[in-house]
Amino acid sequence: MSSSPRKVMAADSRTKLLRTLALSFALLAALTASTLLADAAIQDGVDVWDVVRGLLIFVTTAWLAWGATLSFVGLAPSVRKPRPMPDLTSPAPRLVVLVPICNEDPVTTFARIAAMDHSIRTESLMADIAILSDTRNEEAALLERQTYLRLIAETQGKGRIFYRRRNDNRGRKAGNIEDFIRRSGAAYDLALILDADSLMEGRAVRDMAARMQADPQLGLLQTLPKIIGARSFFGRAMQFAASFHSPVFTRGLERLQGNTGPFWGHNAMVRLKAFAESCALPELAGPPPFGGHILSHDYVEAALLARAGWRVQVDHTIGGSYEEGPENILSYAKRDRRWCQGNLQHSRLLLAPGLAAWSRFVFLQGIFAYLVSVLWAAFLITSVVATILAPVPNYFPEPHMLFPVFPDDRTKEITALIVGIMGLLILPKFAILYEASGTRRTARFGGSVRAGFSVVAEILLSSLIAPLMLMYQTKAVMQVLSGRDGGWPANQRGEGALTLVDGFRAGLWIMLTGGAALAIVARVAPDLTLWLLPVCLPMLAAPFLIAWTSRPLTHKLFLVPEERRPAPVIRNYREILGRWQSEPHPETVTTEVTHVPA
Amino acid sequence: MTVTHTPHDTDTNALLDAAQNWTPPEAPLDMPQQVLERDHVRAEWPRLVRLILPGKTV
Repeated sequence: MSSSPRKVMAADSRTKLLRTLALSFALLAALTASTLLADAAIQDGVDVWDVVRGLLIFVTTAWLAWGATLSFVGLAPSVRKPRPMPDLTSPAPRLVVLVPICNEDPVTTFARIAAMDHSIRTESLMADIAILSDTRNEEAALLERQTYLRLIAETQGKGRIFYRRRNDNRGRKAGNIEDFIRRSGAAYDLALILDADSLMEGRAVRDMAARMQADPQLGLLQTLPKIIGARSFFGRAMQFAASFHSPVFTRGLERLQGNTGPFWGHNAMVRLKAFAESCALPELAGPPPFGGHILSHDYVEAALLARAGWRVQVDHTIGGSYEEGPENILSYAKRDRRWCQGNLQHSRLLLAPGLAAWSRFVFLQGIFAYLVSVLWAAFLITSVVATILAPVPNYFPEPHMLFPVFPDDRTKEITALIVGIMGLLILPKFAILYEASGTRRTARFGGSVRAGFSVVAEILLSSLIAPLMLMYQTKAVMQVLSGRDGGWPANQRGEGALTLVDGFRAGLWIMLTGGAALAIVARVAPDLTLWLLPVCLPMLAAPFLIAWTSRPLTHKLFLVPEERRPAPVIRNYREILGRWQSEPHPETVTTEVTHVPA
Repeated sequence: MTVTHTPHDTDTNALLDAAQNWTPPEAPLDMPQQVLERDHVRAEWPRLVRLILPGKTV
């Protein structure tokens, strides 16, 4: 380990106060939920199932309340004056844009690079671009080389835009970047790390470089990428949520992060000296899924930068940062499987030496993001079991009683519990809508009415697919816990509409599970049937939901600002891509290539 | 996935040779390996309890 002279930068008192308030709120909400449940459950006496259910509802509610808290903290008016954005001073830092790729479509990826290069030069910013290929498939690698020539011709970027392909892809993306730093890191001061689907405005890159130059302790600056280019119902709903809700959640995160903010792996700028001295990741002892290469390396790199005394921050106000998102539930679930394994692997690092407490808490959050699905599923199962095993009510507890004694009706408590939990899920979104209407932010989303419809539609869609996500995440967690390594296959970008056959392939097991659960409950605990319908009915419709939500959606719903007025870099990217696709390079033709896992 | 590429009769070897000159400048920077695991990982419950205390290193 490097012997950094610095120590973790402590959070200021305001950040500590906010963290304490946020945690207290989450714990209070969890305690309230447990009390309501216990009050209803102890009517027929206390047994082990009641205790288990109480614990499960405590943890799951605490998690939901924590998510809601982030939005409330983000919605709170700022008491600090916004800092003026500095501009670059001479000499400007030496900057490189890193684009790690692995079995990506080079035409779309390199068209993005061409657009970014143009945008960066428009800002009079000097920056090299390094395409770091981990592509294993020889035919795909050949396409990359050919498209690189076209990129150079398009940008006149010889000597400025580089391409290198590794012979082995040890360490995957983290190893790819590490390889670059070991070979070329001393040539630059700052590196903008991107994904293959990242797109950034030159202005954003310039602002980030200026921020890094003005704050020598800033080791990493993360932007909030907005999703662009979504076409399907599911994709556009996610795109809307990322554009409308995420800035508020991220503002909440900013206020709680102190100096130990997040790194999401792309659309972020790092100080190369800081990154080099603190972010060479070791392999964890033992086999995957918990040992081997660290999969979700970004969270770990953020923690290591903070450990070495560097400031790590996210700033949602830096505009012009974009990425693409999954177009259907299946793509989302596949990505979730990778992230699930990566996050659960962090359980090995909870006690890593020297980390800031908040970094450990971030690991814990990441783990719970997936574990909570299993806990919800366990709660539902134990609720059914507890009902089945509950003793038959004794209406005449005393001998010679003339009138029966009926158990107290606790429907109100259970209803209050469900309303409270739904409130934690929905209230933040309506609060954000209210705030956005008040600040006229909704104008960029088609006005308050249209934004309102979009918010409601997104809530309905999230509620419908929540049981499906619960099942996919539960399956992913179980696979990881049972030792199954899912690997880290390349992203399958550009997946479009799914057929009903695809839907059945991906969702039949969920449909059968939902049907079986409903049939069993209707037989052994009919009183619970109605309560379980909101979970079981979407499960029964899983194949149809998967196929239906992947279909293209017109632009009446989920309008986002980038659709009404696309940023210059987006327009330029589409123009270049269209030109490259419609007018093949003299030496190029079009064919089909299948993604090959890394 | 539809991608654009060159016919198979393209001189692959020439491209491979050319690719040697496309690499970023040589300027090595050391990256010391980090330590993330203790040699003897033990269940240290007091440390877990301290996780909820903000701003403290554990």
